[in-house]
Amino acid sequence: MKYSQYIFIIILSGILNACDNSGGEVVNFDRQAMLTNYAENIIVPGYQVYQQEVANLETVVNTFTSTPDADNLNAVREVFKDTYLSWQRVSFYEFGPAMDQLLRTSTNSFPADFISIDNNIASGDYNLESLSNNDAKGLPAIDYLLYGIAEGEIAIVNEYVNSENSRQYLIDVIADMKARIDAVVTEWTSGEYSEDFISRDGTDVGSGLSMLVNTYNQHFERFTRDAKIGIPLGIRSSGIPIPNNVEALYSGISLQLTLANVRAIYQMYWGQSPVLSQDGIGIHDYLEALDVQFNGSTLSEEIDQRYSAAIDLLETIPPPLQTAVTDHQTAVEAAYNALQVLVVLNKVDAASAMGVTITYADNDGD
Amino acid sequence: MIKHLNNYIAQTQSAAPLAIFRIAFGLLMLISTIRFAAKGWISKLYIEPQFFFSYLGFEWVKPLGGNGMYVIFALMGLCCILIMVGLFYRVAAVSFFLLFTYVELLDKTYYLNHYYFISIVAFIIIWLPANRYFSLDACRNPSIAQKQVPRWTIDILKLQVGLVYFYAGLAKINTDWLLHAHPLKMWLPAKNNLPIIGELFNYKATAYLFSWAGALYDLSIPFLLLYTKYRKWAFVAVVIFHLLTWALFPIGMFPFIMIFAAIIFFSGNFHQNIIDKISFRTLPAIPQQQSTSLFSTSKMALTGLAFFMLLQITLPWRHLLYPGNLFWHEQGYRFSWRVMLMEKAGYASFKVVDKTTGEWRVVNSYEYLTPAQEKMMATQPDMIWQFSKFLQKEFEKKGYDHVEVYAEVYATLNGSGSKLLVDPSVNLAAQSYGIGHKSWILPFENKRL
Repeated sequence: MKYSQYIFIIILSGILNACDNSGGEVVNFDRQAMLTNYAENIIVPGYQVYQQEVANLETVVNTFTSTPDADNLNAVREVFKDTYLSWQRVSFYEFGPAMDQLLRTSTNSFPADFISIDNNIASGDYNLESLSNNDAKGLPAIDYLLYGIAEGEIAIVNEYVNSENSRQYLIDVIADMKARIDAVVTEWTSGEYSEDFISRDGTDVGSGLSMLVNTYNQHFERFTRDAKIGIPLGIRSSGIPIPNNVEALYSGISLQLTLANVRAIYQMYWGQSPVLSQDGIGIHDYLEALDVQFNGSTLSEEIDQRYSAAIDLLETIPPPLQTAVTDHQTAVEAAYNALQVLVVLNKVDAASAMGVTITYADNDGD
Repeated sequence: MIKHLNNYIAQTQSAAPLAIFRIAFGLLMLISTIRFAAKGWISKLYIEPQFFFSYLGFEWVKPLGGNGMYVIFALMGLCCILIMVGLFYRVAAVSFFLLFTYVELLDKTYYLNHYYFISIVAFIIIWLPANRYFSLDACRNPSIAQKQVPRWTIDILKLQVGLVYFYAGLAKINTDWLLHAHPLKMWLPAKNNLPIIGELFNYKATAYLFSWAGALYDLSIPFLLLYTKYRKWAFVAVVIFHLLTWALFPIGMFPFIMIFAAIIFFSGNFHQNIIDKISFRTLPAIPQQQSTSLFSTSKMALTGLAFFMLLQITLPWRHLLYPGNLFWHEQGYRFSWRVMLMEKAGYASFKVVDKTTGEWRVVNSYEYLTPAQEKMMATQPDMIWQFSKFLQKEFEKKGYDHVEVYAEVYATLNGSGSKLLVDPSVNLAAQSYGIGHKSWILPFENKRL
């Protein structure tokens, strides 16, 4: 070989080396496979579990309303908790069928408006379809109906023994929830939604990934961080806690619900199925494939650690949340701040790296 | 010098390019207006929001209530038709310019370089004799009909189109674009699902190739279009370039506007051929009688236009007056043809404090802004300041006495990782806003808190 050829080869290998060090030449990632995992292993099974819980709830409520006694009430309460927990695993997929059904606002608008609930029961004249009844139905309403409608277990049982309207209201609230989740599951499984979702494998507005990323971010910001933790903590009231604004005020399971919700979003981020104990392709894998750097580490690593940190901090809060916001303010505040960090990492860094626009409306750019 | 200038101003050229430009501009603007309305943007952008991000000095420009905004767009559509057919041209051109610019001034959230381009072109064509030939005005009033127009009336459009490209090219000469292929390196893999070419976008080399080609294209295309020898090939490049950007990015009508704008560089004969082809079916190209007097412009208007163009040439350089990273602080970023230059995203939350009572509240922008406004505000310091002032007024109305507003804003620029954009310890409500440098914008080099 000639001298110049040696030089050429040295330069070329130098360039190739530099390129390798900068993190690979090709992005190897199949977005469609990721969407398939999300639809088939995560979202649909998640909905189906919640659907099953609602059906179970309907069964035990039917038993309770025909024979209102303490045993039957406790049976309903047990299933209610499972139902609420299973809801936390699907609450953040508010697009497509869920959006058509107004699933989140119908299922979990809290705090429950107990005055409206009492009025509805007293009059026996209500339309749960109406938007004005959003906070008089769904899981928060059941929480009130099972734990808060009267003082103590005996009084609550008596309420249902004596009031036909109360029994009917419980039945109607569950029927409303059931109709909606049934419609959502049907749309995903027998309808074409699953296929449609998977086929839209771009990153533009309306693509499967864009809808997923936008809705979980919106949920994480508005409901996980603000509604579940921030507002009861007092971020909108000069730091003065509002304990009555916690989720599941009457049963006192707020922290369990928040943890279930954050864990579910964390699992979703990894692409893990909440029910199939199966690890698939998720946003985490996408960020790794894109080799996104963050402060000397990778973004996927950073997000992973921040989720664990937030979960750890939520676990240290002594339940129930409604007393913790006044008695253990520092612990709740630390968890809130950890959630805030995740909002930034997810909404700013991850979305930007994946080329997903954070916007819920179509618009031109330049 | 003066003699040269006078000679130049006296030179004439075929009126055909101007006529075609008028028709294409009217048509594209009509399509744009209809598209805008059909997408429901009139309501979403100009009726639904509770707050609008005005431009500095144009705070008095407010959207109309009721159906007012629909009327504005209907009138705009009508003006487009009139411009296209060349009827009541001057009135239509002035009205279109005013209506379009009014809408653009309402909210800087929707600032786009191509909207700015349209405003400028709409202003320029007010002064041009674009209705002298192949127009209803010329049929109606043969005394203005003319086959020749002053050469400068066509050159000024070429200059404006050339400026857009050239400055867009200059803006690409930076390390992120050329040495790191940012932001294309982040955007292209997201488009790997496109048919045929999609597979290429998985390779980093493609991002580098596109970055360099894009910069070279922008810098050279105005000159290549000027020379007859290269024009045809340059135009092919224009079409390919813009169709590619159209396939890759959500940039609406921009590619088509630029493709049609580039036609102005072609010769009088070329345009005459187009007119001959379309006039066969529509209206006679040349009215029977022709005016003997050429179109002339007052010295004052000419001087004014010259200054206007000089302003266009200077404005993109104003960023040099501000210290720090332009992409980060964005002082002097707009109105400078910086197109698709960076991937920037941010998140802003605010703390409103009543200093008298110690009351406070965290405000998240989603409580007041539309998602589009929220997104644009979170990366642009001037909008963060505007929103802070808005919050100050809102909370004064709510009974807060001495309102202070603090912003916690994280932004990431070309994958830098989110960092604080503005100083969270500065009470933004107490800051005034002018064209000077804002010291409360943190430098890009700052570490993450």
